[in-house]
Amino acid sequence: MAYRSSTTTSFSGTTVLTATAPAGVVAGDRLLAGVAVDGTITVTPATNWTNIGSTLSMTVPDTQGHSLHEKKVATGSDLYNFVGSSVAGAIIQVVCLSNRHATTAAVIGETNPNTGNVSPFTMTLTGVTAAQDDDIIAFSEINGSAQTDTWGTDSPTNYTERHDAANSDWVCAETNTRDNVSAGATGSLTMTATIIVGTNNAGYSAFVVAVPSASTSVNTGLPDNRIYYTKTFGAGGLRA
Amino acid sequence: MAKIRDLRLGNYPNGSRAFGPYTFAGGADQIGFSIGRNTPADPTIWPNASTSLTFDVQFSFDGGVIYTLPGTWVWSQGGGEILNKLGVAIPETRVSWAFNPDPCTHIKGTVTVSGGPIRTYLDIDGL
Repeated sequence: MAYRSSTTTSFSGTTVLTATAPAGVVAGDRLLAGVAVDGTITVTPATNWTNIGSTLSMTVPDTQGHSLHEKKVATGSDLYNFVGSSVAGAIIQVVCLSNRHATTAAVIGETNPNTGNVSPFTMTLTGVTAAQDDDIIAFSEINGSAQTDTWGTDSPTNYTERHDAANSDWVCAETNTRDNVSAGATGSLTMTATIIVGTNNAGYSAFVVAVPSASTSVNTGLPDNRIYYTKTFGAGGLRA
Repeated sequence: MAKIRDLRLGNYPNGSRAFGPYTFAGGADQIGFSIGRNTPADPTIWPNASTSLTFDVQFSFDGGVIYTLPGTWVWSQGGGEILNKLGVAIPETRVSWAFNPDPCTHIKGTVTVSGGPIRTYLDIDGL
């Protein structure tokens, strides 16, 4: 089990960035959210969520920010009440993963070239080094230079596109996922961005996130009143 | 469904009213709300920051048999003029949703006016 479901919520003209719960979230799932906001806006995480990674601040072609948030252990009745520091257009994409580790930190690759690009262009996303059975999520955004610019993207090889959204208010955002990867470096992920509406240049930024699998407990055969020693399977053997 | 004008431009008192259920034949990849707001062109629309609209939206993914529970998505916003980064008053506050893997088939909910009355409109669209 890995990817369960996801949502995109798009906003225009509000500071109230209440994202939408993915379908079927149950207690113990792990939630991640990519938050793309136009302008120079500080995003307050939703209740019991944590901002992980940097805030990727673009200035080319104009200001836009991208942040990554996480709730390691969902309750099933979670809040998604993100708030922007000022009125702006925004897109929040929330991904729900099942059978993920409850405490181990995700590994994050960040990309913010802060350059203008002409359609079509290649988005090169900094990859990560994954552990065995990690799930990989690529949250990317495209920063249009005209308000209603709408960009579309393809998916990195072997990834599944979950969302490719535009809010007609400066922001486009995409989510791609890959379940249960083998251990090792992903290398850079590449996507092609193409203008759908508009003719202008765009910048982009991205988070590539490796989310650890839940520990696999090994029953040593000891009776129940003894201490069990738990190991997690990694690539090529056991790891602490 | 293309666009439904759920609330025609008009004056609405404090209180709650239900909307929907609205059907998206075959499921909608995206559903959106557009709410008219204050601009210099029509300063009578939703002029006061102290006047709030609160939406409690329920989604169905199975043809309207089961809906998400009330409180799943609640959103509240005050009125008044707000400017985009070009300094232009924003004529509508817009919120839209998309779901994966299952598209939304139905939507319903309540909208509550507080600190009103309010003059505005609400359009609901699905693609």
